[in-house]
Amino acid sequence: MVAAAAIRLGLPPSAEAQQAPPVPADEIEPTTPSLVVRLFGNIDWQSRRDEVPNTFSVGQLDLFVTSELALNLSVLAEIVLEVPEGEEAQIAEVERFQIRYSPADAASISIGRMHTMLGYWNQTYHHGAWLPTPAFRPEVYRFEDEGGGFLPVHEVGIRLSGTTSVSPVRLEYAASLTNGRDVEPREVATVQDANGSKAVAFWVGLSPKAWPWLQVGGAAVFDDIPAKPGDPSRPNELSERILGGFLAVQRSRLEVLAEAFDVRHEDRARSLVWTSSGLYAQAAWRLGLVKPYYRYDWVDRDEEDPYYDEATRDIEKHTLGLRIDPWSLVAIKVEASHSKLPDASFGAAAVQVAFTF
Amino acid sequence: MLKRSVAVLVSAGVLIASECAARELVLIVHPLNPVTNVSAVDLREILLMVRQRWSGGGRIYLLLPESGSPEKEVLLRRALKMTEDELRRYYLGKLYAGEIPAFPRVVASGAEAHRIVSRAPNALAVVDASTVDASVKVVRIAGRRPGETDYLLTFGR
Repeated sequence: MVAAAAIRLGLPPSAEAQQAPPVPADEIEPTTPSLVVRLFGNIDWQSRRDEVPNTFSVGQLDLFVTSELALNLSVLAEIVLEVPEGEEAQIAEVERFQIRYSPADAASISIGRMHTMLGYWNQTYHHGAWLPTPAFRPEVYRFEDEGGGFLPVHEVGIRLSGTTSVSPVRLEYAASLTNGRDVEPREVATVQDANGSKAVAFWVGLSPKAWPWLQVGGAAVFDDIPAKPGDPSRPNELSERILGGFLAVQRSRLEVLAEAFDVRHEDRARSLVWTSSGLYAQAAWRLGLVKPYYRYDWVDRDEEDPYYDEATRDIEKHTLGLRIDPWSLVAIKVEASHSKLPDASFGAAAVQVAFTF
Repeated sequence: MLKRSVAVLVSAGVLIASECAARELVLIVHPLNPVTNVSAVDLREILLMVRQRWSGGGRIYLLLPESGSPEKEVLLRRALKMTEDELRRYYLGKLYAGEIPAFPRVVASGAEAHRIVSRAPNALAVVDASTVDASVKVVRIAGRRPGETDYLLTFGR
């Protein structure tokens, strides 16, 4: 009792406390190698007020695996089973495959295929539909192979990242050297870069320590997009510069996310410049198991930009929805949206059941 | 020697008296761990695995009480201001973002936490103050010891 009181009051520990030889906790409780497996999935029903029939659809089945191979060394793999838009055959795709060495909070090195740190959504949610509040991803973040490519949401290369305390804020940062864009916006240069130059990306996020639920930050990406042989509009490499900014508020009840991007492509040989912009802003408020939300999406692609194809569309979209969490690992999302495209506008409704296990 | 024994006995009496007033949780580390105090912000960042390293560089091996236990409830309410579901969702998000390789280790009892912490200088556990023994060291929170006014991890507030 006396000894316990001494310890509890911060007095020097007694000799008996130091008798057992100290060893790292990992040796007492071996954590390596370990394997953590999670699955994320979603099943949807969608109806559009145009000529597309309403339909049930199986969404992505996301197999997420992470393992600690040794102290400070871990591997992460994410394999998604999905049916691409407009097709019926299911495919398996390795979306992420990375190994990470993290000797310090302030510096980790990751190598492999990763989610590009462009703002907030891309590295926070990405595939797992259960994670974000709304049913679908923002228009600026559409996958490369699903009518996306406005932003390079995947990257293959090396990344230095970390977090540190810079009183009174917590600073997070990332810097990447990667293959960069492929010839087509819908492709990711996973096994072979199309040109020798590498993309360089920087990302920073700041959270006030007094308000840890708030994060603001920005990103910059610089790349040289390869020329497209046979396409007279793409005879030369294009210099790409992406600038982005974000704000994220994640409180128990309130959620606010907003991100904006400016994408500049330049054909230096011909002195031509194209500029496109995109953003989204969403807000949600939790009321018990129910969470109403609204999101505004806007993408304005430069119509003359020779890099983007027709699949990378201009859009203005309003989405109103309700997320219900009847069980802790299952979410039901009901939403209605109105989209305005350059040549059409339509309303849509969707119900999504998203889960993780 | 005599002075020290008297001081300890008096202090023990104060502690026992204070425990009658309120049950508390304490942070425990190995006696050789140089940390003696953490701020409330530090504690939150450690529990949320924003901070995963001690100042000296070693990894913080975090041991948490079981979900649904009174200890976990106090930790959620007083230190994190979150619900169990919110914390689970938070850890899942960290895991998915690749920032942690696994959820923090959960221990079923204070005895199990002591068994690990008393041998591992890099471990940190949160246990009921009444279970603390001489094999571990208690860390102050925001400069306050258990039993002192405004101590953070108090049951029933």
